[in-house]
Amino acid sequence: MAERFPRWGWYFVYTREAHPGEHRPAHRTFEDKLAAARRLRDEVGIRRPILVDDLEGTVHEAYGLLPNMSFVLARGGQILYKAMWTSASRVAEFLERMERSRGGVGYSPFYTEQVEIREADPEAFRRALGVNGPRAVTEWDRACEIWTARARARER
Amino acid sequence: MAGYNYEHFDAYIESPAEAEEFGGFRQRLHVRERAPDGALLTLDGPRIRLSEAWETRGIVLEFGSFT
Repeated sequence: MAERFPRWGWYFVYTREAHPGEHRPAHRTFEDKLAAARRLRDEVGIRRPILVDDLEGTVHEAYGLLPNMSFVLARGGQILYKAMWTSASRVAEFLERMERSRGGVGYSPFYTEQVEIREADPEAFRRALGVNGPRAVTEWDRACEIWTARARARER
Repeated sequence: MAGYNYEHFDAYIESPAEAEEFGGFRQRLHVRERAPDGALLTLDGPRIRLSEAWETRGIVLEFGSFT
């Protein structure tokens, strides 16, 4: 998508590992984190520049700590778009409209809040957990049980 | 809870952190505000400040890890 919108600077900010496992453990040192970010570039093939946060996640925390957020920032750093969960199609749609508006959107006093439509592929996600390590799969299943139990408790 | 770099996802979900983080997202950083600045390391070596990145053009930031 970076090729489609070359006027924008595209960056991937590498955070903590969301689902640590035997093969992709939680970072204990900054060197661990840097090495993991290099593996992410080489194995997943992320071509955007990867920016590595410090070990404590200072930048990640400043932006809200969620595992898969995205932000579009204007020249100068003004927030134009913030999303709890990355949706490539939503970001593309937004950038298309921004480019068509020739900057006019920046002066509109309005904003939109929408539910996000998940573009998730559960099978692929499960495979990715397995690559992190068997423990990542087990802990994900247990988290799902916790979420289900919480949802039931709310219904009562 | 093992702090920021937690070892176990299920323990993170059980802790208050998940609700605080997901609930907190809508309370902070709104459109039109200036985004937080910060220093990050590039894989090629040099450190970059976000404010340097957005000085000349708009930027798209995606946060993430392997999964």
